[in-house]
Amino acid sequence: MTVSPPPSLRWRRGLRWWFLHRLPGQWYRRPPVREAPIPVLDRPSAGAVPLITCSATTVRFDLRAYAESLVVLPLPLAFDVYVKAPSLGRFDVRVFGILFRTRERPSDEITAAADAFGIDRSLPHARELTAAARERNPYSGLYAQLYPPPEEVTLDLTPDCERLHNYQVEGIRFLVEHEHAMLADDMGLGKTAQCSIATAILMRSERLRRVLIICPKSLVYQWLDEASRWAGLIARPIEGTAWERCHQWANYPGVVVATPNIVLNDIEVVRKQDFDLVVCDDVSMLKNPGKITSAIRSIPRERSWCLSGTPLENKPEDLANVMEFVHKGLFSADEREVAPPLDVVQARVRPFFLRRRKTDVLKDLPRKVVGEPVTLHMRSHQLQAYRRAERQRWESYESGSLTLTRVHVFALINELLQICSFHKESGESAKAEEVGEQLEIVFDSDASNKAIIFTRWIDTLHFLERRWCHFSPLVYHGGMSAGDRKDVLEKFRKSARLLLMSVKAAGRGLNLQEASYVYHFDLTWNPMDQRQAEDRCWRYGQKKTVFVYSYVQKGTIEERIHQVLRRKSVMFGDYVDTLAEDTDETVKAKWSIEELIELLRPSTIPSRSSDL
Amino acid sequence: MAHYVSPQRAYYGGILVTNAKGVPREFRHSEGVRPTKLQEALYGDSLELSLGLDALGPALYDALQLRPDVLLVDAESRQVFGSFLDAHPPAALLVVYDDPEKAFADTISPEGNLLGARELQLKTPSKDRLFAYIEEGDSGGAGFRALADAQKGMNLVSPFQRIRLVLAQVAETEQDRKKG
Repeated sequence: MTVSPPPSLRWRRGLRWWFLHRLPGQWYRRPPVREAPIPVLDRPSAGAVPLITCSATTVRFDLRAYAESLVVLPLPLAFDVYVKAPSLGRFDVRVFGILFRTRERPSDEITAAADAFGIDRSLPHARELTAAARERNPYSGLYAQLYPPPEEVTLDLTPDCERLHNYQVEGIRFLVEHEHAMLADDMGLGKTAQCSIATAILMRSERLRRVLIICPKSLVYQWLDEASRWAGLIARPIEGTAWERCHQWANYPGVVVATPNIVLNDIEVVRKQDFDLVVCDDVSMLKNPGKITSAIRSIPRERSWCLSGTPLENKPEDLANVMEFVHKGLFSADEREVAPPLDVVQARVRPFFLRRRKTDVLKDLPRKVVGEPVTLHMRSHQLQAYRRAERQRWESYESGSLTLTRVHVFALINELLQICSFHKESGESAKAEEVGEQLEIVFDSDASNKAIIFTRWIDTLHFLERRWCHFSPLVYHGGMSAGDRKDVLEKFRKSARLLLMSVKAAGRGLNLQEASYVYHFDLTWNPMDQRQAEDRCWRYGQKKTVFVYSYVQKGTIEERIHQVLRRKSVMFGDYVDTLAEDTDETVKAKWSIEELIELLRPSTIPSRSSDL
Repeated sequence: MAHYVSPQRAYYGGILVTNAKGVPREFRHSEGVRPTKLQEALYGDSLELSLGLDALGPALYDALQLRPDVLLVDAESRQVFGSFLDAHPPAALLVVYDDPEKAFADTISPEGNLLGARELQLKTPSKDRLFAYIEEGDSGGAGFRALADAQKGMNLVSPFQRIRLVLAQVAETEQDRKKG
């Protein structure tokens, strides 16, 4: 049932309808021209200018009323209309806007086109232009949202994109929306996949044209595979002789992958490239203010992304140094030497930082069981050799005949640590015996079980390869060619059961979910190196519970180093986990000579074998 | 073309030119146009039509450096920009229906020609169907050809939402500037 309005209201509505629907067509005429000139846009320059904004002049539409029409208006309204007549049909429209620069053509083509059309190439670069553009157009910061959202673009990428987790979609969006970003997800959550897809999205949207991925040598081929699998990207490695690399830098389009050392060697050529995005996968290369760090920071770019599961391994200054690449000037030079308080670091880093933990986002990921280090007792020859070496060095130091520098001390410590792993002359190794027995049990219990042994020394790798020849182990270390490394990993994934790996060459970035047993044969100087290494297995795609074992020789330098490592693990949690990595060299640099000498001091705790 | 009306009753118009993959090429938008009370009273229901046809539409369209092959409007902004589109063929009204039975003949604007619905591909996982009412003018079918090409590479509807999102933020920014 409808309720009719009262007659008086109906009359007023009818009159209003007549005035409003009949009058405008009769008493105004449409303007033939506009008063103001049409807004003029800046043209895109030949340089890396992503967005050109413009502010516009006001456009006025003057609709003049016919006087004779006004007589039919009620008196008060007619008076009002008469007084305001010039402004009745006037709407002031201020137009702003943007002409998006496309990146689908190489810059030389754009330059050639610019020459052909006589476009002034002396226009300012994007970074110089930004402040002025913002002043002219206060809305210029909003226009990036006009690009298709990541979900819309991923629909067209590869079939693997359909299997993305929600946290991965969120990570992709984070990267797409941030020019300066650090993705610090736990190892194994798919940082490479997220970065590949985000890169592909930006390339499809023509926001990126050339991309440089900097990663350790061991990850180069993995990057090529993952970029193709996840995002259909064709990435090309920069490798070969200096002449070949120079040709590759200049001619490879799209995504190129290079190691930090190659970037350092070719830095003059790299600086001349027009990279839109530089990605550092594994940030340990950025933590020390050395040549590599300076070279990487100096690469001209529009976007800077970092990928790292462990952005802080030893000290908060690391994070400040890494962020200098991600967002220049976030921390001053002094703050990169001595970091500000924890809350200050977190507050500054947070807008550019995304970290998710496996336990939070992969509820169905099997557990990782990390046991306390197993304490072992050395066999007689091994122990005698250790004590002899320890005593000789210490006596020489105490007698003053040995002048110890840091390099000397590290050499002595490494010598002792190597004896803890195995005795070269006798071939005795308490660890090899223990781990060998464990491996027999693991392989017998389930034919599908696979194990990885991580060690710091290539000598140890070859020793274990000979000792465990009945397991037909595969060996992977930094001295191998990229092709050989790739073959070893493929063989391990397909058929082999035991993989012996150098922690330095293999600890970061690799996907080895086929293995579920990890053995740290010796200790690293950095707890994060161990965590990185074991997470090669404990990552997305792992089906079994991962067991991690480590070993410490009783009454030796290993025991003392283990105590220090435990302390350092606590600091990582303070800085990074609340928001959301370091190499041997940086760890070593933070040890005072006194601390190191203290490590060398012979143990007062007698070993069981020594009692024999 | 799309519009947004702020809580302060200011009208914002936007026109986004994309390529056939949905990648933005050019965007123009207005600041808020706030009709006076007298204008609201005099124009009444024809206010939005007049704003779109006489003010926002021409201002945005004339500011473009890139000329689009076809002008598009969705159901939400038909009231504002429909008449302007009718005057600038080829142009089309895009409507998403959950039931294809709803797609009868329709007009882009109240004074426009009655047009038949032509189904296009909607690049989303949903079961909704996309229909276009195309006013070709004397373009010889150029409007449909442009849409048929674009439907393969982009979601034809999502740009309208993105324009409104930006316009809403333009409105907020403008308010903040006025206050600040």
